[in-house]
Amino acid sequence: MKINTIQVLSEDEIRRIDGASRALLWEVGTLCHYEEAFDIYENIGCKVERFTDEHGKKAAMIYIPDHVVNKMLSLCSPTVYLYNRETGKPVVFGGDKVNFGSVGVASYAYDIDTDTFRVVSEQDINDTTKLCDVLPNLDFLLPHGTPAELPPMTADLYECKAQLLYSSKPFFFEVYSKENTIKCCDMIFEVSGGQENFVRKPFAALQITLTSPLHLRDDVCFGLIEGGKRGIGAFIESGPMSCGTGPATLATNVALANAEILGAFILAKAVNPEVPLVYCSWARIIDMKFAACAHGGPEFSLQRLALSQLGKYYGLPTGGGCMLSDTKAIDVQYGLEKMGNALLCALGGINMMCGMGQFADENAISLESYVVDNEIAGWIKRAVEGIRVNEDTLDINVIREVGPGGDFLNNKHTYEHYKSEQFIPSILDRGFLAIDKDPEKKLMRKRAKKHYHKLMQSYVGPQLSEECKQRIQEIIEADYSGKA
Amino acid sequence: MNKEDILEKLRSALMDQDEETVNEYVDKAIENGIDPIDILNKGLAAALQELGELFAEEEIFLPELLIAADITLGVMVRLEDSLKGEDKLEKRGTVLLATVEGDVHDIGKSLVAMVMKACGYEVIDAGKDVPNTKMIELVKKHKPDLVGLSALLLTTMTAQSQFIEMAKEAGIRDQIKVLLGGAPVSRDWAMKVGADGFSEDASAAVVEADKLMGRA
Repeated sequence: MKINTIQVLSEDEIRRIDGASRALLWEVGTLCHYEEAFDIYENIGCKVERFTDEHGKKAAMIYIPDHVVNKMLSLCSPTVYLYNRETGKPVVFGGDKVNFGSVGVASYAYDIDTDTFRVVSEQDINDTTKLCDVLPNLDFLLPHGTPAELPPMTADLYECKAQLLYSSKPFFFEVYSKENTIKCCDMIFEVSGGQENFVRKPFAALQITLTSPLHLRDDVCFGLIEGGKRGIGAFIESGPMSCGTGPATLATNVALANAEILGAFILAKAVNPEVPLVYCSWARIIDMKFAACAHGGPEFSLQRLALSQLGKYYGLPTGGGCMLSDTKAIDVQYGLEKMGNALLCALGGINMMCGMGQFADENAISLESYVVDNEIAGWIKRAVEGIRVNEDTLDINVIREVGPGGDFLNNKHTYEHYKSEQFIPSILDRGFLAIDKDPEKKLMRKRAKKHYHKLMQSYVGPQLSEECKQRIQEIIEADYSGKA
Repeated sequence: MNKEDILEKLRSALMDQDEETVNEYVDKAIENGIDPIDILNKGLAAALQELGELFAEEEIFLPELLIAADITLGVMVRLEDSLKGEDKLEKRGTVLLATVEGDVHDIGKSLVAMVMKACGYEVIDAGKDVPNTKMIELVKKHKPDLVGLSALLLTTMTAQSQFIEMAKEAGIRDQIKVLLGGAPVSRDWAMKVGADGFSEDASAAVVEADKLMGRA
C-alpha cells in the first residue's frame, strides 16, 4: 500500500493553532493599503478601521470575525484541477496526491556551460520553461526568475508569455500591477479562446505571496480582485520568517501564516466565490548565525507539514515551498536539503510541492538543477507509492518456476514488472567501482548536463498559431491604463 | 587589580554577554579612577568589535551580538553624566537606512541596521516604503556618512537609481556614500547606477561600510 501520510500535529494541536489564527484575525487585525479591498472586507461583515499612515497614504486595519472565516471555508473546494493544454489531462491538487513544480523570482542563473553565475535573462526564463515542459516528474510551473534586462514593470508579462508559449503544463503567474493582471488574464484567454472556455478547463492560476506579519500588499489585493473578477484562481501562500517577520516559536509562526492565508482567502472568495484556491505556505526561518533567511533546514518542511495539516483540516488542497536549498552550489548540501525537505513533505501528502530548479536561497536557477531535481522528484514519487500487494505482485509461482538456487534475471515476470516496481533513474550512477577507469566520469552533475541535451531533443512545445503569439505580444505592448 | 586587568575582565564579561559581571567591572573601573571614555572604548567597544568579527565568521549567533550591544547601550546610559562634553563612544560612522518606496519588505534592512549598530555605527532607520524625496530631506537633516537603500523587488530597484540622481540634483551626492542591497540587487547593478557599494547581507554591509569609510 501507499506510505501512510505523516503528521506533525495532533487533532487537538490543529484546533489550538486554528483558534490562535482566528484570534489574530479578529483581535490583532491585518494592515491593508488597497482601498478597494477595504470596501470588500467591510461588505462581508469585517470591521474596517480606516486611517492615514505616516507617509500620508490611506490605510486600514481589517478585523475578521469567525463567521466570515467559516463562510469563506464553506465556499472552498477540497480539490483544484488545472489542465495540461496539449494532453487535456488534469493535474489534481487534492487529497494526498503529490505533485512537483518549479518556483521563481531567481535573480541569477548558474550557466550550464561555464559553471559561473550571471544575472538571469529572458532567454533563461524561456529555456527553463521549455525544459520544464519535457521533465517527466515536473507537473506544474511557477515563474522561474525576474529578468532585469526587461523594461521596468514588465517581467511578469514576459514570464506569463513564456509559460504560454513554451510549455503546455499548468502554471501559476505573478503580477506587478493592476494593468498587468488584466493583461495576463487577456493573454491567457487569448490562448483558451475566451474567459468561458478557460473557466470550464483552467490551466493557470495566480501566484499570490503574502507579507508578514499581517500585511496585505497592494499587488496581493489587485491580483486577487482583478483575477477573481475574471474567474482566475490562485495559490495563496504566506511565508513568515521565524525570528524575523514571524515569532521564534514554530507553533506561533504557523498560526501567523495560517491567519494570513485565511485572510487573503476571504478577499478572494468575497470577489468571486467560484475561484479555485490552493492553500500554500512558505513559512521558514531566519538563521541566527548567518542573519539570513534559510529554506534548507528541517524547520522548513516541519512548518510545511503543519500548515498542510491545517489546510486539510479546513478541507483545502495544500502546497508551498517544499524543495529548496540554501547552498550556492549543486553539491552535497544541495542534495541533503532538497531530499530531506521534499521527502518529508511528500510523506505528508502535500499537493503542490514547489521548488524544482531553484537553489541559493531562492536566488538562483540552472538548467542542470532542474534535471537533478527531476531525479529527486522521481525518487520521491516512487517512494510514496509504497509496495503494491496484489495477485500479480504477490505471486509465488514465479519462485516455483525458477526453483531453489535459480535466478530471476531472464524471466517473463521480471520483464513485466521491473519498470513499475523500481525507480528508474536518469542520472544517478549505480555502476560498480572500477578504479582503473575514471570513478568521477559519471558524477551526477556531469550526467545532468548531458541529460539536459537529451531531454531537449524531445521538446516540441505548445502548438499555438502565429496569430495567437502575435496577439500575446500586442497585449504586452498595449496601453491598458484605461482598462485599469 | 590594575587598570588593564579591570578592562580585560570587562571585555571578557561582555564577550560572554554577562550583564551583571559587566556592571560589576564598570563599578570597579569607576572606583579605580578609570576614565569613563576608556571604559567604553577600550573596554566595551573593543569587545563589541571582536564579537562583530566573530559574527561575520559565523562563530556566534546574532542575538549574542545584539545582547552585547544592548548591554553596552545600558552602560552608556549609566555613564552619561560622567562623560565630559565631547566624549562619546567612538562611532564608526553614521548611516541612514531605508527600504525604498513601493517596497514593504524590510527584514533585511532591519538586520543590517541591528548588526551595524552593534558594530558601532550610529544608525538612523527611516523605515520602509520611503519616498526618495523624504530620503533627501533626511540626508540634509542628519548628514549621514552613508545611505543604505534596500529593495527586494525588481520593480522597486529603480528607486535606488532614482535616489542617486535626485541626490545629484539636490547637490548632496558628494556628501554621502551610497550602499545598495536586496535580493535582486547585484554589485554590477550598484556600480551601473552610480552607487558606491553593495552588500549581500548584514555582515557584508559592515565590511563594505568600513571600506567606504576608509577603515578597511
